Amino acid sequence: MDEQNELADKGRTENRMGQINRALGLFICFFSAVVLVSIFLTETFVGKMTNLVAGLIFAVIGIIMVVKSKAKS
Amino acid sequence: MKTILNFEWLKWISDDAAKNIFLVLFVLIGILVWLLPKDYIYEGLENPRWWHNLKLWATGVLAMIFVTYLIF
Amino acid sequence: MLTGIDYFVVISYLIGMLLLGLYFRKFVHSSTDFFLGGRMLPFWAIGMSIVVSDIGAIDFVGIAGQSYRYGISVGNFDWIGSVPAMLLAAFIFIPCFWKSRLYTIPEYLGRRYNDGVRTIASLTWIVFFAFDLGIIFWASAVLLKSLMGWPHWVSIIATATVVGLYTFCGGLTAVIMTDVVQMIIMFVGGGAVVFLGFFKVGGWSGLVEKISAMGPAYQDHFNLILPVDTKTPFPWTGILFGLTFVMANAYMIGNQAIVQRCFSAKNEWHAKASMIFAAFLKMLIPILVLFPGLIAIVLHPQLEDGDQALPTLISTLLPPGLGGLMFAAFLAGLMSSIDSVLNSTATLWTKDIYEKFIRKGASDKHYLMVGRVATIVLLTIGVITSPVSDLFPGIYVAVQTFLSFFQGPIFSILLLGIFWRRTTQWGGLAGLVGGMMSSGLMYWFKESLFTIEDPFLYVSWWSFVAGFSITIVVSLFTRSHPVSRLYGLVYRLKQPQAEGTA
Repeated sequence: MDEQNELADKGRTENRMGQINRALGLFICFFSAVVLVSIFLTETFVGKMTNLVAGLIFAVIGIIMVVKSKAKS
Repeated sequence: MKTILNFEWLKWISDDAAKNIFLVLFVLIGILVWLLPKDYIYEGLENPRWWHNLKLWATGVLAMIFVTYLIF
Repeated sequence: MLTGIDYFVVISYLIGMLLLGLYFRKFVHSSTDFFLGGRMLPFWAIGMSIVVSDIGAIDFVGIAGQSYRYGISVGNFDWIGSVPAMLLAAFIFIPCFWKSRLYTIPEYLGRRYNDGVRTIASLTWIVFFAFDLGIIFWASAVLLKSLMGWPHWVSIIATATVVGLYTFCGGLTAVIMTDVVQMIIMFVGGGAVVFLGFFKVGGWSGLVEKISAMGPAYQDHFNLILPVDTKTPFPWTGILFGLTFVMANAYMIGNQAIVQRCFSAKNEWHAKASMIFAAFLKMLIPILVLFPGLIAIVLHPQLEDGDQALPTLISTLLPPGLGGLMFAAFLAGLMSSIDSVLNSTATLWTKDIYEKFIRKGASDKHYLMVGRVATIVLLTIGVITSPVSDLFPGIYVAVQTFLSFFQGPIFSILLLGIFWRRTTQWGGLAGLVGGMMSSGLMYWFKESLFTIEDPFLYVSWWSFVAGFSITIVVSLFTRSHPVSRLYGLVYRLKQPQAEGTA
C-alpha cells in the first residue's frame, strides 16, 4: 500500500514538473521570437549577430524544456 | 590589540605565499569531500548512476576555482 | 534611450512573469506547497534560484563599478567567498536540515538549543528583511531612473505588483521557477554585454594588455590576492578569515532566503546537488558582473563614478532588442531579490512567530492564509517605507551593518551545534547574544580598533571568534540536552535502530 502511495506521489510530482516546464519553455520560446524579430531593427552586423545568437540560445532552452515536459507528463 | 585585530602579524607572508594558502585550502576541501562515505553521497536515490556522484561534481567546481586562483 | 522593440521586450517580460505566477497558483493547496514548493523541486531549478536571488539589480551595477575601481579582487566574493561555503552547506548542513523537514533555520536553532535562540534569530532576520525590502525597492528605482529615465514610483509599483501577485499566488514554486527564467535572461543579457565588450577591446589579451599599459594605478587590477596593507577593503587576510571562513558560511548556511530553497528539494540528493550546481553557476557570475567593469576601463577610462561603467557600456554597445533584454535582466535581478525576501520573511513570521506564539494548532489552510497575508503586508511595508532611504542616505549602510553584527555569531552556533554534541542550549544563547554584542562594540570603537575604513570583514571574523569562544565556555559549565533529543540535529548522530528492525 505504501509502495502504491509512493508511486502515485512520484507520478504527481513528475506530472506537476512537466506542466511547470511546459509553461516556462513556452514563455522562453516567446521571448526568443521577440529577440529574433529585433534582428531586423538592428543596423550593425555585430548587433544583428548578437541578437541572433541570444535569440537562438533562448529558443534552444525553451524547446528543450517543452520537449522534456512532454516526456514527463 | 590593533596589530592582532588588523592581522598585521601576518604582514610577513608574501602575496605568493598567501596565494598558496588559498590553493592548499581548495586541495584540502577536495580531500575532505573524497573522504565522505559513498552511500552518504547517493542518499535519496533509488538507482544511482555514475553521474549522480556528487564528489565528481564538487571536484569539477574545485578544479575551476583552483585554476582561477592559480592564474590570478 | 530605449527603442520600441526594447519596450516591447520589457513589457512582454513583465506580463510573462505575471502570467507564469498566476499559473503556478494551481500547484498551491497547502502551507507546504506555499512555503516549500510541495517539497518536489529538482536540483537544477533550486540551484539557479539560489544564484539569481543572490544577484540583485544593484549588484550588477555595483560590482561592475568596484571592478572598475579595484580590479578582479572583487571576484573573491563570488569565488572563494561562495564556493567552499556552498560545498560545506551541500555536504554537511543541507542534508541534516532537509532530513529534519525544517521550514526555517531558526527552527533548527530552536530544536538544537531553545526557543529563546530561535526567536532572537527569527526576529533579527524578519527585522533585517523588512528594512531591506524598502531599501532594495528604492535603490533599484534610483538605478532604473538613471538608466532608463523611469520615474521612481513607476518602477516601484510595476515591480511590486508583478512580484507581489506571483509570490502571493504561487508561493515558493513561483519564486523558484520565475527565478529560472530570470537567470536565463540575466545570463544571456549579461553575456551579450561581455561578448560585445570583448569584441571592441580585442578579446581577453587585448583587455589585459591595454589595462596593464595604463600605469601603476592599475597594476593590481588582475590580482585576486591583495596585500594586508592594501588601500582597498579587500586585503587577503580579510578575504580568508572574514569572508571565506565566516561571512560566506553564514550566508550560505544561515540565510533563510538561500537555504529555504534547498528545503523544497524532492529528495536529499537533489537538496545536496542543488547547492553544488549553484556553486558551479556562481563561478560564472563574475564573468557577467565583473568583466564589464574591466572592459569599461579600456573603452571609457575617464568615468568619474565607477558605478557608471555598466550603464555606459549598455548605452554604447547593445543593439535594439538586447537593450530591452538587459533592462529586463535588471528587473529580473530586482524581482528575484524581492520575491526571495517576501517568501522567506512570510515563512519566518508564520512558522517561528505566529504558529509558535500567536496561534498554535490551527488548520493548515489557516497557516497558508497567514503566509499569503504576510506576503502582502510585507510588500506594502516595503513600498511605503522605500522613500525613507532617500530621506536618510545612511540607512543602506546601517542595515547592511546590522546584518554583519549577526553573521559571525549565528554561524558560530550553527557550526558548534552541528559538529559538537556537547554544545548546550545556554552556550548557544550566550554565544549568540555575546557575539552580537561584541560586533556592536567593535563597530562603536572601529576608529580606534581598525586601520581600514570599512572593516566589516574583520568584524565578522572577530565576532565569530567571540561567539564561538563564549558558546564553548558556557557549554562546558552547563548541562547539555540528552543525546536522544539530538538525533538528526548533529552530524552523523543517528538514532540506533531497534533490535529486530535492522
